[in-house]
Amino acid sequence: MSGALTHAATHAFTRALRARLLPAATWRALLNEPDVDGVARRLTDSPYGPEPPREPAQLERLLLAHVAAETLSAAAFEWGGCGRLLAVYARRYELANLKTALRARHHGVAGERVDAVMVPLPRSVLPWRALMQAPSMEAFADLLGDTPYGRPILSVLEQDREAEPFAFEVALDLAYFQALVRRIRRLGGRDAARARAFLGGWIAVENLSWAFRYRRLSGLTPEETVNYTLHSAFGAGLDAVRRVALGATVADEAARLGFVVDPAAPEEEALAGLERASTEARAAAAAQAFAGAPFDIGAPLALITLQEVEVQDLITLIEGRAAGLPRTALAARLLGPYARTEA
Amino acid sequence: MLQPERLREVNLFVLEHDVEAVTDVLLRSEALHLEDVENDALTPRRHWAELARRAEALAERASRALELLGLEPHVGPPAGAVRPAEELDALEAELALAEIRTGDWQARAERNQRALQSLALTRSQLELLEPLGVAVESLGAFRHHHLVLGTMPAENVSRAAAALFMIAFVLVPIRVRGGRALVVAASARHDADVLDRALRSAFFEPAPLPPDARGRPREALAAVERRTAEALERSAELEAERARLAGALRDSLVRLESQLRGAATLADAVRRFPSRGEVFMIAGWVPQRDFDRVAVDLRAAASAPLVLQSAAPARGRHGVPTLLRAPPWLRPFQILVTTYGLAGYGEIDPTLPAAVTFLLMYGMMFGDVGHGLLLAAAGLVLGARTRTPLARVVTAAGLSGVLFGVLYGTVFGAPCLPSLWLRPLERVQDVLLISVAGGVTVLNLAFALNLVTRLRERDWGGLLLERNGVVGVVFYWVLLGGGALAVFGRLDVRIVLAALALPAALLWLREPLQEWLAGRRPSASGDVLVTGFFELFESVLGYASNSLSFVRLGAFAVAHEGLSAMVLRYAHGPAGWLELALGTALIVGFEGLVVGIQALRLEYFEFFGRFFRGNGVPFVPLSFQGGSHARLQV
Repeated sequence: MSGALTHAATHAFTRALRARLLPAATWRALLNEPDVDGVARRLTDSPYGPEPPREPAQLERLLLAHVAAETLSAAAFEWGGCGRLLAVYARRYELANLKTALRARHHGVAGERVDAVMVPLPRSVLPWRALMQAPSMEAFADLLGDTPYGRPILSVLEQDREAEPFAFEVALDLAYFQALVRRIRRLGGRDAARARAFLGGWIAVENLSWAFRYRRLSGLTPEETVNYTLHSAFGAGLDAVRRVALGATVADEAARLGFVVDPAAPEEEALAGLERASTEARAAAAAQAFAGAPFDIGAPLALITLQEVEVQDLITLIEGRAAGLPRTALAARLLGPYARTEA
Repeated sequence: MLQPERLREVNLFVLEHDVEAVTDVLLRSEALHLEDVENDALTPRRHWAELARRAEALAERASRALELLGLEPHVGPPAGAVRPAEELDALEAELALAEIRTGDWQARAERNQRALQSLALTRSQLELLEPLGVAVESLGAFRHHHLVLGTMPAENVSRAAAALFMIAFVLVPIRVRGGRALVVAASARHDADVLDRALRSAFFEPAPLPPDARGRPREALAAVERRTAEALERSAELEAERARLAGALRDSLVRLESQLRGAATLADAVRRFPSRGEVFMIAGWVPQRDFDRVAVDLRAAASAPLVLQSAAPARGRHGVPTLLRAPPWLRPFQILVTTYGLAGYGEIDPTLPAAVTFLLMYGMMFGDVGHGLLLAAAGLVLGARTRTPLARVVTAAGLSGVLFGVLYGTVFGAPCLPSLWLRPLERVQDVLLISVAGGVTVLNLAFALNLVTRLRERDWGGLLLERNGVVGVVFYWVLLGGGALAVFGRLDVRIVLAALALPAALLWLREPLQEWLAGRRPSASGDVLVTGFFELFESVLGYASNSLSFVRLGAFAVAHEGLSAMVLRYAHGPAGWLELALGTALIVGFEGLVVGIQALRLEYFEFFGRFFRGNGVPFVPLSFQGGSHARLQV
C-alpha cells in the first residue's frame, strides 16, 4: 500500500510540475522569435527565468541544468525501488559531466574552458576541479572513491594503466546502463511495464546506436562490439548486438523495435531517424500518461520525458536560430507534441 | 515574514595589500553573496587563480597525508588568519617536510602491500595448478592450443563468453576475489587473436604463470606460504610505525590542512574579484541586518581606508539572491514552498499563507479528535527518529484535524462531543457550499498576492491585463457573482453578459495591449487573435473549474466521517478491537496521506500557480565551508 501512496504523492507533485512546461502558445511565440536574444527574452517569465543567458552555449547549459534538477526532484519524491530507479536515471547528467572531465584531464584542457561546457549540477558532490587536475588515472579513481563511477574506472586501470579515455567511457556507460537495467528488472507490475515503456525503449535504441557506431566508426571486431554493448536491453540485447556485429542494417533492427526507417538512407542518417522516432514515440506516450490511475511510476517518468523533450527542442530552436534556419524548417525538427501543430 | 530578508547591494574597493585580510573577514562572517561582475575594464587576476589552484593541490596533498595516517581533518574555519600570498611558500615547505616522513613510510607500506598481493596471486595460481603433478615451468608449452590465465571483473565473465560466439573456446572461472574473477581460457591456436581480443575488451588482465615458481605446485606453495608470513609480520610493524608517526605529526598536519584549505578558498574568492591596478572591487549582497557589523569588521581589518558603497537594490533589479526569513515555528512549512520553487527577491514568500491554508484545508478534510491526535503523535515519533521538517508539518496537520474534530464533535468517528459547528454527514450540501466559499477565498487571496507582487514590480501590463490581474479578477467576480444572481433570478442574464463584455475583450486582446503598454509595436495578427480567443475560453473554464475544485474539501470531510462511522459500526464481536485498530490505522495512514496530497495539490495548482514564480536564486555566502554552501535561512 505504501507504494501506491507514494505514487499518488508523486503523481500530485508531477502534475503540478507538468503545469510548468511551456504551453503551446509559448512555443508558437518562441518559433516566431527571430534570434537567440528573442528566445532568451521569451524565456524570462518561464521556469527557465528570470535571467536566461543570451549566449547560446550558456543558455543550453542552463536548460540542461534545469532538466537535471527536475529529474532529481522527481527521484526524491519516489521511495523504494522506483525511487532508486529514478535516482540511478538522474545520474545521466553527472555521467556526461564525468566523461567531459575525463577527456579534459586526458587532453590537459584548462579548467575554465571545461567549466564552460559542463552542465552545472548544484547537487553533485563530485570534486570536479580536482578530477580535472588529477595527476594520474589512479588519483582520478581515488577521488571517485565509493561513488558508482569508481569501480568501472578501476576495472580498466587493473588491465591497462595507460588506457585511452574511450575504454573508461565504455566502462562508465556500461556500468550506468547495467545498473539502470537491473533497477527496471527489479520492479514488478505496472511499475515494470511503465519503466520498460519509457526507459526500456530508450536503452534499446542507445544500445543499437553504440553497436552500429562501434562497427562502422570505430571499426571494432564483432567480439569487441559485443563486449562494449549491453547484453540485456529490452528488445535490443545480445542477439541484436550480434546481428549488428555481423552486418545487420539499421532498418532491419528498427523494424524489430516497431519503427520504420528508410532502408536506403545512409547508416548515420538512418540511426538519427531511429533515435528521433524513438523519442517521438516516448513523448507521445508521456503526453498520454497523466490520464488514469496514478498508482505507478508512469507520471514521474512521463514528466521527465516531457521535460527532456522540451529542453532538447529548446536547444534545437536555439541552435537553429543561431544558424539562421527558417521557421518551418525549425518546426519540422521539433520532437514534442506541440511540433505536430506547427510543422 | 511575507518577503525574503532585505539585502543591501555592496561595492567594496580594497587595495591589494588589504585584500586578503578583508576577504578573510568576509569568509568568516558568511554574510556576502558575491556577484560575478562582467566588466572589460576590470579584470580578474590570473595570479590569484594560480594561487587558488596551487593551494587546492597542496590541501589535497595534506588531506591525503591525513588520510594515510588515519587522522581527522579540522572542521570549521581555519584557526589562524589566512594569508595565502604571504604564507603559501612556508606552508608548502612545512608540508614537504611532513611528506618526507609519511612518504618514506608509504613507499615501504606499498612495497609490502604489492608483495602481499603478488604472493596472493601466485598462491591462487599455484592452488589452481595444485592437482597437477607436473612442474610449473612446463605448462604453457602447448602446440595446438592457446591457453591464458588471468583475472577480469566478475560481472564480465559471462559477457566475454557471449562475445566469443564465433569460435570454439573454454572459459572457466576459478574463484572470485574483490570483485575480480580468476579465469582460465583456451581456444584452438588459430583462434588465439579472437580469444585475446574478446578477453581484452572484457577488461581481462593476463596473469602469467608465476615466473619464480619452480617444481611441482605443492612444493612451490609451501615456499609462498613462508614468504607471505614474513610479509604479514612486516605489515604489523608498519602499522605500529604509522601510529607513532600519526602521534608525532597530528597537530602540524591538521593545522596545515586547515590553513591550506582556507588559503585555497580565500584565493579562489579573490580570483573572482575584478581589479584595476592595485584596487580590487568586491561586489555582492549583504543582509541588511548584518551590514553594520560586517562594515565595522572590514574597516578594522584593513590597514588603509577602504571604500564601501552600499544601497538598497533598485526596483526591478534582476539577480538579487534570496535569503528567507521565517520564525522557527514556520520553518518546517518552507518544505511546502521550496519543493515548488524558491521565492525571488521581489516576490512574496508564500510560506505563511501556504502554511495557514494547508492546515485549514487538511483539518477540514481530516476533522476528528481521535484520528488527529494519532496523526500528531505519529508526527512526534517521526520527529524524534529523524530530523525531517516534514515531521512538524505532520504534527501540525494532526492538531488541525483535532481542532476541526472539536468543531464537528467526532472522536474516532463517534459523535460523542457536542458539535460546535456542524456534522459533515448531516449537512452534506452545506459542507460542499462552504468548501467552494473557502476555495473562492483562497483564489482571491492568490489574486491579491499576485496584484501586490505585480504592483511592487511595476509590471503594469501584468497587473492590469493578466488572467490573474485586475481584469481577470473583475471578470472572475462578474462571472461568479453575476452568474449566481442570474441563476437565482435576481439579475437579468443579459446584464451579466454585457458586464462581462469589457473584461472579456481586454483578456482577449491581452497580448497586443501588453506590447503597447511596454512601448513596443503591438502585433494584431490573426495568429495572436486566435490564440487570445482560446486563452479567453480557457480562462472562463478555468475560473469555474478552479473554484469548483475546492468541493473536494467538503467531499473528503464527508467521506472521512462516513468511513470512520463505518469502521466503528462494524467493529464488534471478539475481534472488534482488532478490527477497530486496523480500520483506524487504515484511516490515519491511507486517508491521512491522500488528504495531504489533495491539500498539496490545491496549494500548488490553485494557489501558487496564480502568483508565485519560484525562480529565486539562493543566497550563497562566501564561506570557508565552500562555495556550494547555500544559506536559505536567517
